[in-house]
Amino acid sequence: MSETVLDHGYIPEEHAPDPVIGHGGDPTPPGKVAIWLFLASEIMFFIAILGTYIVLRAGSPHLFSEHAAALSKKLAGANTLVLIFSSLTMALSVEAAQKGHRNKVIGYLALTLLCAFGFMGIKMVEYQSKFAFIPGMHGEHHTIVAKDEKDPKKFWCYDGHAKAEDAKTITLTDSFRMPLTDKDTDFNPHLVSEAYVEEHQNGTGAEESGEKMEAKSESAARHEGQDFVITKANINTDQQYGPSKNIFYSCYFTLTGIHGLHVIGGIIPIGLLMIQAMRGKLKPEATEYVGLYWHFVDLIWIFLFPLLYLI
Amino acid sequence: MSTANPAQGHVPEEAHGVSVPHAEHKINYLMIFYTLVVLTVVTVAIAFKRFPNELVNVSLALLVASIKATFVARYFMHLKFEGKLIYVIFFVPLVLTVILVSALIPDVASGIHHIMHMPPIVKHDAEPLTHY
Repeated sequence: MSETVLDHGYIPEEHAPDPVIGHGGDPTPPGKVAIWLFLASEIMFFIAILGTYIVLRAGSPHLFSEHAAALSKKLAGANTLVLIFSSLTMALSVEAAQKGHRNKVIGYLALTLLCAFGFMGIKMVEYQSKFAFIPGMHGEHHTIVAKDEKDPKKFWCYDGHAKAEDAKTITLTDSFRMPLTDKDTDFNPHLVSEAYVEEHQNGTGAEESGEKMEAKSESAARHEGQDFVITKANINTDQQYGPSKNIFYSCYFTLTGIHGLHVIGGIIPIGLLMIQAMRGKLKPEATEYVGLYWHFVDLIWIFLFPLLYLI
Repeated sequence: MSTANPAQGHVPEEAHGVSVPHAEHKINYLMIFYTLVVLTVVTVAIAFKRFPNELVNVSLALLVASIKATFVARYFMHLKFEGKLIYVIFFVPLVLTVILVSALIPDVASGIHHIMHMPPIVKHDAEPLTHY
């Protein structure tokens, strides 16, 4: 007749409450709940640093928009497309894993990995054009205050990318310089941007109002600069466009750096999933969870791109 | 009952608050990708055509970013097909985010006068730089 616990020592499966979801509960797999909870904590993590960015930006909007305009929109735009494409390949690999198509899983995961490395590569080029990220490789951006090569009473502010450096001199290429006068008592190389130096290269900027200057910097396309060889003994201040340049770069490197670490954090599990798939083990659930994380990394970049590069 | 109809036997009947995970959802991922690419182009185009009001620029950029994020979350992250539980997990931090950003409004508002009178980055007169 009816089977009971006494008969078999266990409750027949169809009558037993599920150990995880119970009777009539939500059948969402616990792994998925866990990854979404992790993403929820990630949202709070990013909004904390974004909150810092909001307050700092509100305090000096002009500094932020001027320096943001100097960042490479091309590289960042390319990175946005790379990351969106990697999201597509990740979604397709999750689908392939659920259908059990091993070769497709390997292919799509490989494409995703390629995009992830591509993103980091472009990011490295971008960082290198700001500060000596990779020592010995030039191209980093400097703001240099130095004495005139002939007249020791005269000072110049140079702004541009380094081309070569030896023991005695540093060569800036495609650069601009502006004369500094006795009036420039509170001149701060931390705040200066390339566009500003370009506009004041003839020393004519002193009387311009802020509004006029802004209108000019937005309409005028960037002109060709010159090459300058600066003797190191004459240099008063040499400021690279690193995280310590000013609070804009501090925000920029913190936000993109933490996002970059998340990309590296995605490369590892995607690589592991690919190795597993090549060994013949498909893990549809794990692939889905890694995919959720990867889409989240993409989602964060979707906000960072306009916030840092475009506005 | 669902078992009474063998043709639909694999589709569980949805009870209140119960989702059906892992059902076969036909999503045209390529279409979503194209949409995101177009929206990226729109974001960049908007950035090049700047409006005099900074608030408009920021709002537009964030609006397009939010639309893109919605596409990623709904289709790539399958949020459209998830049950109540995942929505709750996702929306609690979103609400907290709104509260956190709202708490910053006084700081942002006190910085508005900078937008009205933007000082040049380097002042050439004796007035010290106090705005940065």
